[in-house]
Amino acid sequence: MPSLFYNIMVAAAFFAYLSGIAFNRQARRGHARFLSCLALALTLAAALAGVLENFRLPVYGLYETSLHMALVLGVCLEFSAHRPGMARLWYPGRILAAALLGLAWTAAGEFRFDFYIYHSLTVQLFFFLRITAAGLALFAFLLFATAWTDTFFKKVRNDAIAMKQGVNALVAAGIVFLSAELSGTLWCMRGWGDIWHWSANFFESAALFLLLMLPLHVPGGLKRNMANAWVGMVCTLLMVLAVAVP
Amino acid sequence: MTDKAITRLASLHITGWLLVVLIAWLVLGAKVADMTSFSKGLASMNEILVRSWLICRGGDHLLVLCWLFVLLVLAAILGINLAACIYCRLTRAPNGRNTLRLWVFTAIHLLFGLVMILHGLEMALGQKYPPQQLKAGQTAVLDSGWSIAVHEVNFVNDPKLLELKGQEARHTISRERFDMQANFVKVSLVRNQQPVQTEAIRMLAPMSHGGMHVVLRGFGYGPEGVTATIRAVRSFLHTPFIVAYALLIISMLLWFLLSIRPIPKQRA
Repeated sequence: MPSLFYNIMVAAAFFAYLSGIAFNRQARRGHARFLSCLALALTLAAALAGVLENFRLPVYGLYETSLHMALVLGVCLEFSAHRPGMARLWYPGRILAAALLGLAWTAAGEFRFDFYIYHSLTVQLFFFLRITAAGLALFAFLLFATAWTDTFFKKVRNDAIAMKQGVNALVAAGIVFLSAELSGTLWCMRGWGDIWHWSANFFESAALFLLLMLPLHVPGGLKRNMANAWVGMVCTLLMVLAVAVP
Repeated sequence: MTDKAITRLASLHITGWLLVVLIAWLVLGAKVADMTSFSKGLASMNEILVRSWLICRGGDHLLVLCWLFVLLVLAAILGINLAACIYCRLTRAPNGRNTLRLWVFTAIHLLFGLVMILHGLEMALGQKYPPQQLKAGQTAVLDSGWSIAVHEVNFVNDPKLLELKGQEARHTISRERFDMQANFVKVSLVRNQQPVQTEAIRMLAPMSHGGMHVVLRGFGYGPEGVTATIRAVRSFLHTPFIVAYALLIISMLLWFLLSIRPIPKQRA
């Protein structure tokens, strides 16, 4: 029965996004905006129901990761909709959110196994903040991709608004990712007595943080061409894939 | 050192390429960690202080030693690049323009450097003792007159769960099947035969006294009954590290808030 509820909620959110995209194509912006907000509300309801049912925050697993990333991406799209230059993200943003919901639908209600360490809030926060950072990085990816297509096809300078917003989204993803790492450090201190562990997971975490910081350190000589946007696009995409497909 | 040399050291070209090489090196480390010899080397590094590991065990794990050496060299070059970058930013900042942004920028980089330094110090300062499997009534002798006495091992759930390993354990030992509060080990931290602190330690809930941390790594089950795996670490860096890390996040948040100010209309 709970699985049916999640199936209905996720499917409804998925079709709300698709209908919104169709209405926007017909220039019925009001309907499109309403359906986009409805999809976000349904995603939020499904996510909250999962939290209440499991009595924990979303952690890894196909359903939880896809749903939470769709939620973060949806929130970013709606809350930045009024900002200049963001209208161009309407289609790619909603298509990506719908794709994530489609992915979540294939495993609707299949929550990650319940391991005893989820008793600890720091452990929950580590995973939760990581997938939140991946959602923000996905939003940054969209913005960098927009900036890159501007420079590649339209031959305009890429220090445009999409680039600036992309950098802001990247910094936000970095902040959330570092917060996840701080939770992980507390977990490590309480579980092993160390602040760092020599293991593959820790090396990957450090590499992911440096990957997020790389687009902010592209040399000045390259800033006026598409390399800056390209580096941002590649790094954010790699970060999303590394977190979502561990 | 001349100003020109510092400017060269502060180059973003160096930063960018160093970040790329560091990422590649860390990913390589993560991939080769699957190799038995490499993973054994890493496991032995986790047991004791890296300083002691280099002296006592480093020679037995040459591959890990080489990987660590390159990592430290890359980190050191990044540190020099970071210091030069901060120097250039501060000495060449235009007076009165974007002062807050400049200070936040400097704070982020200084705090990042501090976090890296604390990571480095953690490898050299303090003491780490290998985990020991103990049952009630046993004592683990450390050094400098320190020891840990185990008074009670209290495990209320099915002990057969403790025989499970890896994925099977993760899928089976749920929050319902493992009571984090009721399962505990009562230990005393002893110095020169005098107990200095007695407490019940639980999973992810260690005991701390000054710089000494006593951690419950897990429970074990065998013919002698339920045992506890206990590890002691002596380090004064835990609190400074967490504070520096939190300040780094706060400074980045401040930078973000300064960056999302409304965009001037002519640019929009």
